[in-house]
Amino acid sequence: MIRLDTTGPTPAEPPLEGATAVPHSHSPDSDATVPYVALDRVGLSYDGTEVFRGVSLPLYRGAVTALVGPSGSGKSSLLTCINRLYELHPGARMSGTITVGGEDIHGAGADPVRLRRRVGMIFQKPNPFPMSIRRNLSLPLSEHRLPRAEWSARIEEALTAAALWDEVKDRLDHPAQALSGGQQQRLCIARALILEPEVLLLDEPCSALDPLATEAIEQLVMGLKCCYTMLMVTHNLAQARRVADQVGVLWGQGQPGELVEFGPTAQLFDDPQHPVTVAFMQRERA
Amino acid sequence: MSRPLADKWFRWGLLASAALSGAVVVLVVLFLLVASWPALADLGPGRYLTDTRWYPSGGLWGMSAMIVGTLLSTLGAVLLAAPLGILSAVFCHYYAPARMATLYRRLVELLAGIPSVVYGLWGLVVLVPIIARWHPPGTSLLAAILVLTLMILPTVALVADSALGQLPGSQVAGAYALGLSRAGVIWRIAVPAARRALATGTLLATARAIGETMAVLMVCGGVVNLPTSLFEPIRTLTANIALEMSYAEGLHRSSLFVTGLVLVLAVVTLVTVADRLGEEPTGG
Ligand SMILES: Nc1ncnc2c1ncn2[C@@H]1O[C@H](COP(=O)(O)OP(=O)(O)O)[C@@H](O)[C@H]1O
Ligand SMILES: [Mg+2]
Repeated sequence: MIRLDTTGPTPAEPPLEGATAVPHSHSPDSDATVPYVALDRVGLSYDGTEVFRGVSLPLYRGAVTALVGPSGSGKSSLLTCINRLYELHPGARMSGTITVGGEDIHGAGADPVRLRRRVGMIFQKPNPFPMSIRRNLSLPLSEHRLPRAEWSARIEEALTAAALWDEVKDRLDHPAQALSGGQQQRLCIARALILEPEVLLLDEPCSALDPLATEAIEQLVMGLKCCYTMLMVTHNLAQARRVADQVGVLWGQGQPGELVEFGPTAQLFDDPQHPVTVAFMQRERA
Repeated sequence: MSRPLADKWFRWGLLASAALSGAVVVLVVLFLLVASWPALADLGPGRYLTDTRWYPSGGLWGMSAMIVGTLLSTLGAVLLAAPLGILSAVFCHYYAPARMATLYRRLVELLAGIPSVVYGLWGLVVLVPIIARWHPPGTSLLAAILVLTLMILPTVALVADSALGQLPGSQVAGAYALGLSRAGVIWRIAVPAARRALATGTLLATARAIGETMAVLMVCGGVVNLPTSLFEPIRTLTANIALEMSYAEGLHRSSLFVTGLVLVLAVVTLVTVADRLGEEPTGG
């Protein structure tokens, strides 16, 4: 069952209701003070060049954390640490520890395939596969050997959760790449949701979209808030303010990026502490 | 010269060369038709296709044994070369370290550039004796298939390599982010996305195999024979022309042009199908 809040905020529901297909023995209870994903002094280097270092960040279930900062500071790279996608680059090395649901992602018995099923990712540019809408969604299901009998129900559910069902239900067999940019991005969200992840990583999901499509994605993210742990990179401060519960600023100009400030959204916008944050906010506003 | 004028000359130049190449093709086909006309008119096209016996001195002009020879050698070569070429391109893209992949690509390009007579020579000196030891006479359908396979393998591999390279990195990353294994990315996304290009490349390689003359001639035995096993000698359509053209006269000569006509038709059909495949919009 894809968890989706349609009735507005609900008080602490049991996190594993509807028995997801993903086994996770260490899931914390709904105690909002225990981060579901925790980064502890995480750093990353490509071929010996440090991109960022010493990032400690708690991400909570039911909250959106926004990550802002100048381009090149390593925001996208930071996201790829959490689902171990950085390992696709042979020269990339991560330091520090990350736990998801209490499990060390590099711990004994940890495996990237199982991790990526629990941690979905949405990219900056919509990246549907060059096949039909239906095939885009059934592909991860068949890869993870989910029973074929469940496919069509899951596809409908995921598209509904991504607010795309009504627009595409009559053309599921049309090529996905014929959809508009905003629809493609929502399809990519549906494709991530169909595996029933617990964490969603969003890398500037609206930067390639027009304002209307951007608003649709923002609405969607707010609706998904209830049941997922979300980390969203954005260069749009207004968007961070609208959507996020907490904000981190990753800063690195000419040197490895560092998390210079982190806190609740209101505090960070109304009363930034670090001079770099103050300057960044001012420059982005101008 | 002013820009618009240069532009105009350039356009005329392009048009002229396009018209010239088109005219040459039409003229060649026309020539083939005219040259084969006496035989076609005298014997009728049916005689060529129904009879397996080709005895120019005895007035027997059956081409079907040679058509079968061409089809079998081509089919065998494509069945071997297509999977090998595609697998080697997959290896190159997804498994080989960058250095090895580059080296491998250079090697394949080199293979593609070797003249066919050299493949034939290798086949004759190395391959045929090996087959002969196993199952004489050595010059055989099998030898033709193997030499043709080597010849068209680079074509398939190069086309497959460039087709696999078309898949955007963002889609590869997206696939891994969904928890797909490397094999999953290859067989569920990269290869299906490249399927049209792979089919086109395979068809072009098929056309090349049908038309190949020298290398096949050197190893196939040249005997007009409807083969019942891989070890029997055969004669292909191309070999037929090359072997007899120098002394053929009259109806015999005209019949060799019919052979040429059949070859051209086969290749044109393949290329047309390949074009169609390349054009179709992606979907499904
Ligand atoms: N695969 C890679 N190999 C080497 N360097 C990389 C790679 N990906 C990103 N980088 C470098 O890491 C730095 C941070 O990049 P990125 O994470 O994309 O930053 P951001 O998302 O904040 O713009 C940049 O300087 C970029 O050049
Ligand atoms: Mg980025």
